[in-house]
Formats: sequence, C-alpha cells, structure tokens
Amino acid sequence: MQRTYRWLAASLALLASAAVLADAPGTFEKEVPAEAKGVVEISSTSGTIEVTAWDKAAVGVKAELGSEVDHVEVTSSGNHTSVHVQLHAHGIGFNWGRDETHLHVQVPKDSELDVSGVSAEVTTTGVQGAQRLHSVSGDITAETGPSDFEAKSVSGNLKVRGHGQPARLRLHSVSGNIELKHAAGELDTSTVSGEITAELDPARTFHARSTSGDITFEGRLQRNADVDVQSVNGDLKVRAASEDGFQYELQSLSGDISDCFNIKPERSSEYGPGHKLEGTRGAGSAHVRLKTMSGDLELCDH
Amino acid sequence: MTDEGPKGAIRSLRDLPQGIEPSRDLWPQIEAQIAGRAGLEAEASAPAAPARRARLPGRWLAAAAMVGCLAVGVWIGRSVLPGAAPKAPPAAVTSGAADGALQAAWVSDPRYQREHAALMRSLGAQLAALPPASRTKVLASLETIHEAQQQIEAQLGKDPGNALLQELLVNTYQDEMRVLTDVREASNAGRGI
Amino acid sequence: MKAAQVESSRIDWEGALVERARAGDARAFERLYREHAGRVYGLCLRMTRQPHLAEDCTQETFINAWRALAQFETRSAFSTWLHRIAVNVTLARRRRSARDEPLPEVEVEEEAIERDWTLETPIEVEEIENAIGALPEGARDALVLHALYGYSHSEAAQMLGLAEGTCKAQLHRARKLLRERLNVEVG
Repeated sequence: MQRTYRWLAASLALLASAAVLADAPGTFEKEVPAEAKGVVEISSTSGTIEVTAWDKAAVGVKAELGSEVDHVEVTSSGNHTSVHVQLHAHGIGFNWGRDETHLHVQVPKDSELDVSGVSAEVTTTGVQGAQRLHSVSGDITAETGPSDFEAKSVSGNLKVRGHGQPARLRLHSVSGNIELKHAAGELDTSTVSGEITAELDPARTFHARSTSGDITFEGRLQRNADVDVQSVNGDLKVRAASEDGFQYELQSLSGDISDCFNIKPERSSEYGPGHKLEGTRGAGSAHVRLKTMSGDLELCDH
Repeated sequence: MTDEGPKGAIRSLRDLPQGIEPSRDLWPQIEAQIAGRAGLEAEASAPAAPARRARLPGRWLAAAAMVGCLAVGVWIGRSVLPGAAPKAPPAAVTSGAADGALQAAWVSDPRYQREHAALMRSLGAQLAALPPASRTKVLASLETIHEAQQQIEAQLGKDPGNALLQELLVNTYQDEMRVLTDVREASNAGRGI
Repeated sequence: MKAAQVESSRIDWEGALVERARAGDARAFERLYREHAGRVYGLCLRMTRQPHLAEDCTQETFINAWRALAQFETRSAFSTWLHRIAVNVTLARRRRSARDEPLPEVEVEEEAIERDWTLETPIEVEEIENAIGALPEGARDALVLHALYGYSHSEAAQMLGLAEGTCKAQLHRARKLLRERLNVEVG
C-alpha cells in the first residue's frame, strides 16, 4: 500500500510540474519601456526571430513558444533591453506539437540591435540603428539603415537590402550565399563556397573574398574608392562606373580575363603561367583589383 | 590627392591649394617599409619554425598538429590573426620583388600557431554543438579550403615567385582561421542560449 | 547630402579606416594615404622647397604614422595628426643638416595679427609660391601652417615647437617680407 501511495504521489507531482510547464508552449506577450536609441539584445535557438521597427519608446515582444522553451526573459535596464528565450536544461520529452519558437520583437527604429540565433531565421525591417545579426544555420534577411551593419552566419544565406544610405557593412557566411541590394558605402564580405552578389551606389570600398564561390559586384565608385575582390577558384564579375575614373588590375593564373574596353590581357610573366590586365579609365581616381587562380574575370562599365 | 586649386591669379594666400601631387606614387615604398617591419617584428619574436607544415592526414577532425605560418605583410591586416605558413621559403621569394611593391616575408608567428592549435583541439567538440546541417557544411567548407591550398601549393611548386599565388595562399589561411573562429563563436552561442 | 552630413560622414569613414589600420589592415592605411598624401606632400614641399626631400619627408610621415597609430586619438582630426608628424619629420631633417637661424627681433602689433591674408591685387600662383619659398625658414613655416593650412596661432606654434608670441612674430615678418617681394599690400 505504501508503495502504491508513493507511486501515486510521484505521478501527481509529475502531472503538477507538467501542468506548470504546459504554460510554456503557448504564447507570450510583453512590452517594456526602452530608450529611443538604446541597445536591444535578442537571442533564441530555433524557429524565427523577426524584428520590426516602430516609433514607440518601448520594446514589444510577442512569441509562439516551442515545446523546449522554459521561459522568455525580457528585461530592461537603463538603455539596454534584453529578450532571451531560455530552453529547458533537460527536456521532459513531452511534445506539444510546436517545436519551434516564433519570436516577434518590435523595437524603437533607432535602436542598436544585437540578434543571436542558432538555427533561427532572422529577419529585420525598418531598423535604422547599428545591427549585429548572428545566426549559425538560419538565414538572415535584413534591411539596413545609415548605420554600421554586420551579419554573420555559418551556413545560412544572407539577404540584405539597403536604402541607398551610406553605411559600413560586414557580411560573412562560411557556406551560405550573400546578396546585397540597393546599398551604399563600405562593404566587407566573404564566403568560402557561397556566391556573393552585391550592389553599392555609391561605393566607397568593396572588399570581397571567396574560396570557390562566384562574386558579382555592380557599383558606382566614389572618388578614391577601393574595390578588391579575390577568389581562388570562383569567377569574378565587376561592373563599375566612376565619374573620376578608376585604375584596374585583373590577374588570373588559368582563368579567362575579359573586359568591355577592348584591351587584351597580357602574360603576367615571360616564363610562367597567368595573365593580367591593367589599365586606367578616366582620371583613374578609384582602384579596382580582381584576382583569382582559376576563375574567370570580367570587368565592364556599370 | 590634389586639391582643385585655382590656376592663374589669386587674391588670397588661403586660395593656394593645400594638396600638391608628388611626381610619383610614394605608396609602394611606404608599403614595403610597413610590411617589412611587420615581418621583422614577427620574426624577431618567433621561435624556430618547423621546416614543413605538418599536415593533418586529410581530415580536419584528426588530432591537431602544430601548423607553421606564412605571412605576406600587406594582406595580414584583414584576418582575425596574422597568418603565416611554416614552409621553407621557395628560393625566388626572398629575392627582391619587382617594383618594390610586394615583399613576401615567410615568418613564423607564434600567436597564429597558438591560436590555430587551440582552435583545432576544440574543433570536434565545437562541431558537435552545431546543428547537423551546419556541421556538414562547415566540414565541407574546410575541405574546400584545404583543396584550394593544395591546388595553390601545387602551382607555387612550379612558379615559386608568383605573387598572385602567394597572396591567394595567405588568403586561404586567413579564411581557414575565420571559419574556425566562426565555429567557436557559433558553438558558444548555442551553449549560451 | 548636406555639407555637415557629408563632413560628418567623411569623418566616420575615416574613423573606420583608422580603426582598421590600427588593427594592421595595410589596405585601409593605403586608403588613408591616398586621401591625405597630397596635403602632406604640399606641406613638406613648402617647408623644404626641395621636391625630392619633400617626397622623403612624406614617406617618413606615413611610415611614422603607421607605427604610431595606437597613439592617435580618434576624436581629433586625422589630417591634423598627420600634419604634426609631417612638421616634426621636416624639422628633424632640417636640424640634421643646417644651423638654426636666429629668431627675428620684430615688434608685433597685436591687433593686426588676425589676418585673412588677402592680396591688394591678384597675383599669379607661381609668383606667390616663389615668394613664399624665398622666405626665411622660420617665417615660411609659420606662414604655411597658419595662412595656407589654416592652423591657429597656438596650433602652429605648438607644431613648430615655438612660443605663441614667437610664432606671431614670424608671421608678422612673413607678411612684411611678402609685401616687399610682391610689391602689394598683404591683408
């Protein structure tokens, strides 16, 4: 009998804790005051993280919580607001049918944003302040403002859109593709095997690297702009224009070099392999350098 | 570089152009000096380098081996750490490069060696902390970099003084360090969350 | 973009380049070189009057700047910091090769010191540059920094390692000599 009661007591305790935890999978909503140009830090493991800008001096959080979520922590102190999705330390194995957390956060538009996810897909819209978006395997889709912007992913794709306001941009993915449209200013970007496609108007600097991925760049170069694109095996294609002209230097060991200026590449050295193409357009204010071992190179006017 | 100064007659000394273009580009010599100094400083503090890079037996998850360094001063800056390869320098490299524009300095950088070894030792555990899809892609990317290094080194064997290949090789070491560092950050992010 | 925004944006870019250069990015430093080399060379040339020496001073300036990047305070203008280095380099070279010239005994009219350096009649650029080049070194240094590069008396004095009063005296001397040489009133 005693054993039966002990078993019953244990079962009731388990059900009670389950009842408490049953609150976790479900919805969550909270709003806290925040400074107009404060820092907002958001982290979640999986699912989606969607950040949109609004005009309120507050951070609003709405979430559909996955089964692994223990609680959502929203704190605000001074000019710093944090939104953290905390998982259970040890899962209890109940599957409520919703394994992913969908987090929607609204922030003051001039906030400085710091988002971190593991396999979460990250999306930001309308944020004008500096952004730092990191995801391990999730894709990152974002709009930039006239502020510093960094997006990094290990295997996710990066898709970023600017609004023509100059900014300093850093986009890095180990294996994902990187796409940047309607941006301006400075871009530093790299991928090992993904493809990079970027537009900068105007462009102050464009520094891009890949090991095997192709890189395509279109830009209107500012005076003294610097374009430096290198890949071991990827094809590099640049369409550039500049009112003050640019100097260019294209080098490939075994790939083809072509341009729209009817200039033929010459051998890099008398006895070794490789070809190069050097020249100046207009006043030659900016600099364009494309280098690859086996990829093809193409340089044309924008 | 030059101001759009007025030509002809002017009415004030303040109208004189501040900028005057030198008759030649001074950057190559400046670059050679700052690159050479960076290489000398690294070399001065470096222990004796192994003669050849100890290569992992084709797989990144094998036990880490000490890796030597390759440095080309001009391109070190954008990496997390300077990269330098521990190979014996090809004969033509240390001779003066054309136009003073590029000087390849083969040095051992102890910071690179320490950091690279530390990252390699913890790579297995860090990869395990990543989502499976990411883990596969990271391994594939590291293999892509490894293959690129082999291709470049094969070409350098035929043309040791090729500055383009040297630069691209340094890039691959920097890219490798970037991937390893990203994996470390990513695995920490997973644990933190 | 408005002028203030453009200037602010330019300083931001420069700050970003300086940070990258500080971290060892030679490409970023090259960008800074391309942006500032003309003004640095112009300053060195006017102080030395020898193009070859001015090239050496310009190179040494940028090499020294690279080595001293850690000490640059980003709140101040990078160009000012470069010009200080350039002046130091030029003066050091000059000290190695020549005697110091004695400072002039000149009565300084305090109220007349703030000038806009206008000329009574327009003068050809080449003639003015030659007249500046013919000035004694001390007067020329002060004139170049104050009248051409826009540094205040105290800034110019500091860069030249002089007391402010001495710098003003050199400027007064420069004005007097230019007036005599160009045969026009210098405001």
